[in-house]
Amino acid sequence: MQHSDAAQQQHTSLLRHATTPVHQEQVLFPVSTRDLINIGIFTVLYFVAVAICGQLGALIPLLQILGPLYIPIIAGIPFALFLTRVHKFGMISIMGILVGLLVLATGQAYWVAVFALVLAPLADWIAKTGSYQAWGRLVASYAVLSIMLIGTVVPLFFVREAFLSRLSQRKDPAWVETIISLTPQWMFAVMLVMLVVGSIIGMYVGRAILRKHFVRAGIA
Amino acid sequence: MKPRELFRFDPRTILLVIVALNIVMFSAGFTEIEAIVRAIFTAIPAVMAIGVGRLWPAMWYLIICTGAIVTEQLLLASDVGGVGTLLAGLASLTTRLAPCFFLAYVAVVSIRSGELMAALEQWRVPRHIVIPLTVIFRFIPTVREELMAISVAMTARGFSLYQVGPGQWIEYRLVPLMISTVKTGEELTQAALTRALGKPGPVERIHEPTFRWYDAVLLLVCAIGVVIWCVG
Repeated sequence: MQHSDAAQQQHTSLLRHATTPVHQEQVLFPVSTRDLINIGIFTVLYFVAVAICGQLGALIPLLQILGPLYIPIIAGIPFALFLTRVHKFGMISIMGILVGLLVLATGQAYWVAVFALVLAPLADWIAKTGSYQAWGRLVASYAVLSIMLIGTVVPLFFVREAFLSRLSQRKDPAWVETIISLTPQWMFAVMLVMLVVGSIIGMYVGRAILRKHFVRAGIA
Repeated sequence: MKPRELFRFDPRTILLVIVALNIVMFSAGFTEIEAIVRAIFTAIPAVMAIGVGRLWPAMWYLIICTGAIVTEQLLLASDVGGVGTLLAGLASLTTRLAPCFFLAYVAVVSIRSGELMAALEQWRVPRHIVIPLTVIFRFIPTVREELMAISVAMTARGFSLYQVGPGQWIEYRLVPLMISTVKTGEELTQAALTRALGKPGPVERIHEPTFRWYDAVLLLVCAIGVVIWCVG
């Protein structure tokens, strides 16, 4: 199975080479210009989806804490539509790395970029094992990709510690202890679980929206 | 209305300033000299915004940053618990994030797609990153405009947040936005392929990125800032 898959891919890449002159890189890593433009568009949409969530979170304070749960749910809608365009290895990887780069450029967390370098190709590989069709693999792939968003929280934990250590110079230790107990370290693990659960729900929501709107509009 | 530009920065300069700003803003330092460097780096995006002709956004940015810095310093100096600590945390987060966000805004409004592509290709970035990145830069303003138009239309039709709740509110903004963006994207793909995007071999460009004296000054200031940061 694996062998025939590889042979098939080589076959198509050879065909492409025969019909249109292509870049040297493109033969090694066959993603067309059209695919690359699609990656750019869906990266923007993924970002905007998260930004709309932020707007909502600013209005309702409770949503701030539930961020890791609902952000992947909303972002699942553009991602589900993106997956209808994905059919080659590399597209999910590039998208994940670009999201990491954008988060890096807006100065939120370099951890997202670091995680993206590992998790995005992993997510891509998981989806590829289902040839970008098997629903279970796609859900797993999105869950793995979403875990990189935990990177935004990693430095917040660090900044908090620096903040607390500075405070402890002025305040008594008991007071700092209460602050630490109010925001415990296990919150990190809870957030990880929330991300995974959120992205599983997100894929189902995304598929429902896809069927409700995009198939009818002829773009899915 | 197109704002009048005083300077046209080289896209490479803007990217390097983003890197320098991130290095400085990530480390949490509060000594005397670090505060000065941070003030310089907070001012740089404002200067750049004024340079590319965005005076009012720069003013708003400066007001917000000054407010956040003053709040942070006042609250840390005095002994306030509970809400005060929360507010101080929020203010310190703003002082850290606002410069990066504003610089990203400057980059989006001032970089031309063609120049960005040429600059990144000179740096030998693979085209798998160059093309999507350029598309992102090209699309952020478009998506923002579309989103605002859709928001106005949906509110006019009675789909405001208080009338329909968050679920539908998001659905009735995100779905039209995605449909219009994907359609625009398809047209962009056709246009770009017609103009030989992804053509092998060297290409000629209308807008070549040019490195001018103010790029050099800006980079020099950044370099000095980063060096002081590392030494101090």
